[in-house]
Amino acid sequence: MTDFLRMGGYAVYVWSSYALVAVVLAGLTVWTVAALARASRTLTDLEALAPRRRRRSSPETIAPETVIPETITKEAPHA
Amino acid sequence: MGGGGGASTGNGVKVLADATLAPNPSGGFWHRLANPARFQRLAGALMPWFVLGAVGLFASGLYFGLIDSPVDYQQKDTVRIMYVHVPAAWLAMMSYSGLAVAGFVLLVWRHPLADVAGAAAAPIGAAFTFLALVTGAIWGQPTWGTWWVWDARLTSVLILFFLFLGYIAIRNAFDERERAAKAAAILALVGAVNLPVIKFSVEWWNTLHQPASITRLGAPAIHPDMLRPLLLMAGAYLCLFVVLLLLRMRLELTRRRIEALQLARAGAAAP
Amino acid sequence: MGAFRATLARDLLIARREGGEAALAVIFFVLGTVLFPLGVGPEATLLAAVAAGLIWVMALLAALLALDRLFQADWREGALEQMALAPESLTLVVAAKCLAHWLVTGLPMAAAAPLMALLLNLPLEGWPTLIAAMLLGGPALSLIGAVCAALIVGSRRGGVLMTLLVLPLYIPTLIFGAGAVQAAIGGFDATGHLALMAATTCASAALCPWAAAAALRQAME
Repeated sequence: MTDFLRMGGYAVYVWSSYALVAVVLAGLTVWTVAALARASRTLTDLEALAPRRRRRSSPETIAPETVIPETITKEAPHA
Repeated sequence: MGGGGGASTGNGVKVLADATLAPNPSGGFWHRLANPARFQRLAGALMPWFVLGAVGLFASGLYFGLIDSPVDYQQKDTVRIMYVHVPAAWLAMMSYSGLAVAGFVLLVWRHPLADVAGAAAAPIGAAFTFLALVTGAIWGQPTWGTWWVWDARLTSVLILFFLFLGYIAIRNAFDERERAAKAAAILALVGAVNLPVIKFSVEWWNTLHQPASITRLGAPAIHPDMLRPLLLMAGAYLCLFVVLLLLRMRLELTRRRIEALQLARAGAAAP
Repeated sequence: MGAFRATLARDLLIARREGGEAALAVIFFVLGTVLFPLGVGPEATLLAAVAAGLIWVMALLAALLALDRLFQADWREGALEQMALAPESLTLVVAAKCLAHWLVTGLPMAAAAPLMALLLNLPLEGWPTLIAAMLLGGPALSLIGAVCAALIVGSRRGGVLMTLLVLPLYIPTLIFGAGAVQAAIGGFDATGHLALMAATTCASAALCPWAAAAALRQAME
């Protein structure tokens, strides 16, 4: 076990590298998940405040500013 | 001029209503995916697999990397750093290629998710680049006797890091989302075209100035027992990248939806 | 072709009237280079060793400084929009602006290069190659810089962002240029480096105006 930890005398280099990778990747994941949770909460709050919704649009619509590809509108059959 | 404003909002919602009321079975996979709801569902379905993959590959990669693999003849145990350093560099390159592809898709096909993907991938790519740089430096100290060395690969990764920073910076430089998206897309493509040139010039520069004492790190043939943890860790990084990408895309879409709702409320509140 | 010549003439005229642009680039080039001996000491061999690279780095930074003026003024006055709306190809217009920019900034810097070489004690063998490299590489600096300038035209935080965007893209030019001079000093053949430099400039001339025009167009949407 101590041999494993010592890493042939290079313990500080090997372990600091692995630790850094762990910290950065875990940190990135935690940050992303936390931000997503916060944003989802805000979204549900906002959606609760806007009950008057046009019946025609589906519950999750693309934000109006988003550009819809031309081909989708052309392909969708008009009633 | 152009996007935003009442008229186009009306058009946008009307168009969407048509698209969602009459789902188009003949539309391509990517067209159907342009609908965020559908994308979220697909992402939700894929995510557990990639999470499992990441966990499994990290576990096996770390086991083989740290425990069940040989030491290098010259570098002894420090070669184990390779198992976290090299996959990080691979993923850094891959992420940047992803940015370029997303940019291309945005400019040519105007796929609405292309910009979301680019925005989501950039910080992940930057993180991997940073890891590649720092683990490379840590690896360099016992191997070459110095914390930083201007070898071709590290130098190229350093420049790649700045390309990522530039991409993120130009995204944040504009308030109008569409301008930011297109500027970033063009930048990613320009950077992608330049990247091979930069890499070539750096490698050339390195051969011109090669100090005699530094040996090239890339051994021509890698021992299969070393290849195994390397590929396992690479796979683990890749799965993690996909997980983080999907999460960040969902985050980005949620943020845009929030913005749209807030805009609508502000618009309704104003007389 | 008419648009090319017209834009070139216009830009040169504006530059002559304002005068600041060329002077700015050359002054920064010279003054910055002068700072180095003051910083590291006047020892001749030390300066000679770093002269090639130093001159090139200062040239890059001076070019970077001057890029700001490429599109910003026209953007502010609305002239850029007119150029985009005009029937002539925006790519051609941008190419003309790049040429004007180089004539006004890059060419004077190439002319100032022998003075820099003298100040930094660059060996005489390197002088012709230095001038050749700066003449060959200067246009590339204007062209590549134009793409980045077009990307951020009209944005508020343009200046610092430009540095981050442009400098990585300038690296090949730097390497080929400094490498050429160092090869010449060392007694080796510099034609390989100069050829690569020329290739970079040609490729930039072919691609950059188009990319910059695309960036300008999306900036004006």
